[in-house]
Amino acid sequence: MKPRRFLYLSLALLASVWVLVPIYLLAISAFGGPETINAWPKGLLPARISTATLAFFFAVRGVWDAILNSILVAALTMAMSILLGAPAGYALARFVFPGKDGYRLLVLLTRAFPIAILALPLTVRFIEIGIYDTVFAVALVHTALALPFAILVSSSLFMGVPKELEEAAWTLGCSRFQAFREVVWPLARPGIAATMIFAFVVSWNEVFAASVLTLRERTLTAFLLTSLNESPLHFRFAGGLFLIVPALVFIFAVRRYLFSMWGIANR
Amino acid sequence: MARILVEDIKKTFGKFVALKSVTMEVADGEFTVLLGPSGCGKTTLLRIIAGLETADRGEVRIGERRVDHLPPRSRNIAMVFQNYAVFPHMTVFENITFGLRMQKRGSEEEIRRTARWAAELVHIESQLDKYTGQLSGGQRQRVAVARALAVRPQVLLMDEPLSNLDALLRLEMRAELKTILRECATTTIYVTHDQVEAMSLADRIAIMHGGEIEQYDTPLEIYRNPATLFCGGFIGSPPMNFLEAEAVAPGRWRIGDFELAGPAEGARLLLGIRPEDLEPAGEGEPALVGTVQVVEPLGSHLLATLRLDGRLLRFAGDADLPLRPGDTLRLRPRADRLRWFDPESERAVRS
Amino acid sequence: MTGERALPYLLLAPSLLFLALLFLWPLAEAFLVAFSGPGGQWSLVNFREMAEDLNFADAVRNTLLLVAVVVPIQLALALGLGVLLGSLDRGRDGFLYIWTIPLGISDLAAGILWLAMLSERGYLNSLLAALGLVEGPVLWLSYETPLALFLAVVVAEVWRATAIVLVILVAGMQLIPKEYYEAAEVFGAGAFQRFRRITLPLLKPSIQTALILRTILAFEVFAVVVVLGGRDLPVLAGEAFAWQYDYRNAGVASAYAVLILTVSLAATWLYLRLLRVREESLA
Repeated sequence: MKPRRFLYLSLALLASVWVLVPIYLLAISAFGGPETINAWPKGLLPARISTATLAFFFAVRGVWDAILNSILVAALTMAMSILLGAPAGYALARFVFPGKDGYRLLVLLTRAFPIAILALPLTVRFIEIGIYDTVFAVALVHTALALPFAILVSSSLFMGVPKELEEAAWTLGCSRFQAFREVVWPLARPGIAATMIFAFVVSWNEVFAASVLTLRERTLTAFLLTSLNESPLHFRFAGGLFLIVPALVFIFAVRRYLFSMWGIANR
Repeated sequence: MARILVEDIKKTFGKFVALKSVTMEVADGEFTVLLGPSGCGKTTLLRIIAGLETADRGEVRIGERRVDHLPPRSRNIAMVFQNYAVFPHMTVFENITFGLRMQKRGSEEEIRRTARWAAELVHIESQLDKYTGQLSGGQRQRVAVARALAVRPQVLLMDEPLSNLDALLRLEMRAELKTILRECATTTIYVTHDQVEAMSLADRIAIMHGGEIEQYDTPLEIYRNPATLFCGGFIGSPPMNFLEAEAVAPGRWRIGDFELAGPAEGARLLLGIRPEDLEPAGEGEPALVGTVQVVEPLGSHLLATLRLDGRLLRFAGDADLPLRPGDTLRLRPRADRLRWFDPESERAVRS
Repeated sequence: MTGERALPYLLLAPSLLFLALLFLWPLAEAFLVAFSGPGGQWSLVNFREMAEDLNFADAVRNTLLLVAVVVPIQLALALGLGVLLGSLDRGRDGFLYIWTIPLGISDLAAGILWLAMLSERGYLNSLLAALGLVEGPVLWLSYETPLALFLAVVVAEVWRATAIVLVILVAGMQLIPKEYYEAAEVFGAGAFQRFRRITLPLLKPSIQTALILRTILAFEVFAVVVVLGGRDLPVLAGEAFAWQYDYRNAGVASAYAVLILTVSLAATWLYLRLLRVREESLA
């Protein structure tokens, strides 16, 4: 191996270590049992593998409810952002119409809005209309976060299905809806699935809005955040790890769509 | 089988006028080629007939039925696209039967039989179970043709179907397409920018330029008697020569020192003459005299570019002519092949 | 197909309605709440209360400092990783996957993760002890060690959010045709010159996008800070949260939200001005 190649590979490995090692250390903190948490100085291997910490975490009152709420909110967010976003994405991909640029600009602008400016005023309104502290209310705000992405990404997915395929279907006897169902949808489906997973992760990870919009119906992030001061370290580590694991799986599942999701949608 | 009638079709995209006012009729069973450079409106016209584009005004009739208000699926047409547009998530069989299934035409057994017939027609019957992603470009184009023919359309529309194939395959497919379509005798409109393709396939060619049809006639008639300067320049390779001529007496015209007979009217005209309609002139005979600039031996014949009073003249002659750059060459146009054009209107003038 | 002229609008309508209800309306509401006094009249009382709070000056300073330190580091690191990725012969997909893992990790989880590293009996202290640099556990994340706390947040933010910059830049780099580099090499440009003369100018739109996005998000930094330092390191979003959640004062919380929006928009405008991309230079 040439020295230059060796240097590049070493640097790449170093960067990977920088990303992976903290995750590994959090994992052994969560799996090492109480001995590992209190050990000093700590080693790179856990004192022993134990599920005691995780068992303790899941036994804490409210954790299961919070997890369930997180999943519910994320599922609702996923459904709403794709149901609202995919039709809009299709319209942007296939039609030329007055107001298109304005709409696109509006969608891009929403990205500049800090979550604080959405969540805070909505708290007041949600109390008034009686949906404050519900899973649905949190999902609404999370959909607002995920929807602009869903619109832009699904529009780029639909643009990736050649228009001629759809036109060919029309000339062969399909109505617009049939052509969509038979041709466009099957080809865009994997990307749409990735977009839905993305919406799920956005919601699963969101902290600020979930914390201000709930009191008892905590999501997992809200639960962890608001109990930081009274919870022991190993509880936080277990919670942190539990937050990370689904994210790893999701990122792996959508890796093919990484660029259309975070790269292209940002243009 | 049906005739197609297009009347006074106009189409604009924003400020761009794609079609000015197009009227044409394609007879039942006829093969018409729309030929022209890119941007001339040929694809737009085809898409309007297909129903993929809406005209600003005008009528389209297929058979006796007016169809311009109908969606593509109700027009009884089929279309073959430039990039094939075969469905990548379906097998060849599913592609070919797609139209029949969507229109719920016939029993499962009948659909199967039609698919086999169409597949055999384009020699793709051994690939029926493959996904189209596994096929080559030529095979995909065969699938597209079979898929279009399987619905037994009244009208077949083809948009540059061969232009994505490499040169050799294009030649092969062209001949094959001609055989297949003759067998089916479906009324066909075929769009291309390739004049050789147009000449070889068409019953009639419509030459389009700037959103209008400049000439609509048989290939040979267009080649022999171009209606406009554009038609003469676009068809033929190399294109027709145009030389400025001045009237010296009624019916007598002069190009440089060369005098010849021509139309009785007018003061200035352009003489159109094809490179192969020029012949070497004998000594002492009146002739166009030029200096040879470039000699291109093409095997079957020889192509020479001459300079003649500051203008360029192309001459196609016998491959064995001993020509070199710098030689002086005397040429005589064949009298029966002279074509005259009005430089103002750019249209042909009858002599 | 004239009947279809309404179709795009029908398809857009639900999302448009939703965006209007959940963006434009709260935006108006936030301004209304922020700028109204106790009796509902127009007033700057919330902003006065915000500015007079002990934590306000610190929060503004800390947030701006964090943006000023974190964003350039992330940009430089992502550029470096992007170029590195392009120089690798094999394993690009694998490395890219690993480097983008933090994309899926919530800021709360990232904070907890670095808490495990940096707490008193954490791995950093263990490492330092093993190297003989410290005697026993040292407390880094406390109000008594503001600089260490600040650096901890910087490290956690760089770890967590460099990936988004990387993805945007790599997507941009993939759009630059290889021929440009080959042409430059033929004309004698070295690796650094190729980076400076080709990569950087052609990557400008991507850099602009990445900077805008990262800066806006950095102004909102919240959970990482809360996990690592509580309110020992006040930041704007953390203060907004505290006023809303702990003090139940929506007025001041909204004032903070308006402030965050204002600085975000100002930063966006600044980037658009400074990194102006001429349309005609985009081939």
